[in-house]
Amino acid sequence: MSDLSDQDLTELMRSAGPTAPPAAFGVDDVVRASKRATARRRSAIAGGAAAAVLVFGGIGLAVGLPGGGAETATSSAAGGTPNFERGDAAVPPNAAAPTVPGASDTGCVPMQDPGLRALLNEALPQVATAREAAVPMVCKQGGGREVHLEVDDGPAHGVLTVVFAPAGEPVEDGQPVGWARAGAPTASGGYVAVTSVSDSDSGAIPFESQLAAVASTLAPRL
Amino acid sequence: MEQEFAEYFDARRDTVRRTAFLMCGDWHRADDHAQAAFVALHRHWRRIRGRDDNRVLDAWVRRTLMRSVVDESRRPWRRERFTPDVPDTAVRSHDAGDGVATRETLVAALRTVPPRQRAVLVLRYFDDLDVAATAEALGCSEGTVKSQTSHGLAALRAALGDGIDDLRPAG
Repeated sequence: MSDLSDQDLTELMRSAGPTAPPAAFGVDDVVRASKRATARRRSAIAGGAAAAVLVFGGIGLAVGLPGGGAETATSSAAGGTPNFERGDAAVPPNAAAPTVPGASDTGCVPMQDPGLRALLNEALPQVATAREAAVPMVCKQGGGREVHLEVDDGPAHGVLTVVFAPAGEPVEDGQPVGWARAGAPTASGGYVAVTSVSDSDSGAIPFESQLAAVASTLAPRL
Repeated sequence: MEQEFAEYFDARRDTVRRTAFLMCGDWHRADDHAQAAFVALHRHWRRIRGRDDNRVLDAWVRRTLMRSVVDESRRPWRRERFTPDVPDTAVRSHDAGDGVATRETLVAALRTVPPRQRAVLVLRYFDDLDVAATAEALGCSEGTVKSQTSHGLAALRAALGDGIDDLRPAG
């Protein structure tokens, strides 16, 4: 900087430290959270494996029964056309985001849900090897399931997020520049939103044209 | 393992919190990000701990922290809005409150710098990393770090405007 040297800037930034408030967490909190996260992940993996057995077992049973193939578990809402939005303006497009009525409970959201990741991999195989994006843990009313991935789609790269909000929980709103989102009501009465955010200099949004199809594929399974 | 982790945590917690604070401008969110980084570190401790060298751990924590903060700013419902001016609430004086005023002004100005450029500035000028280490922390090329540094400094200078003179450390 012409009027503020590198050394000045370093000293200024370091001056932000001495008045820091007491930390809100200690090593015991970190260890507890780490062990909870590990236990949750093991439980989710076990649950995902059990769900896969049930799903594939159900498909096998349905195929084996007369007329069973026509009796899908898809609700009418989940089979509908997904909502689609794209953010190129500086105004939130969905201030009245859908809220699905129903029961709710309190829980922490698995930010990288293995079961949801498996479903996403089937719906969009191109992201099967994508790296998980680092996100902070969030606890919120009603729980939910989330996956956040760093994705590449040709020259476009960014973050692809899938958020499943259970019945009765609001779908979180967004502010729209350089992202696109498709969402659909799910079979269980919740709502699934698939969001892609550009991190490309060109502003290209990864998998933008496929978001609606991914939401449609996931909705009957959630 | 727990003892080693606890020692590392005690030695690094404050620095990680300060880095997070400069990135997001809010101590509550800074604590969330810092805690998330340490939780991730604890979960992978056996795999990534360096032998007699904390630099490996420092780089890993830094990279996790930066991804956490930058990714949060990208998430649509938490996306930050950038304003062209430093808020008027920043106080500039050379009185007893100088340190607080300086911090508030600087943090407010940093908030106007786009997240990845802000990350580059914080890593280079607060954490004192060179271009190569900054590139590693952010998972980008050294050329990108250089260009982001240039753009970030320009954005910070524009945000500070005439306040630069008040901010320059005395002596």
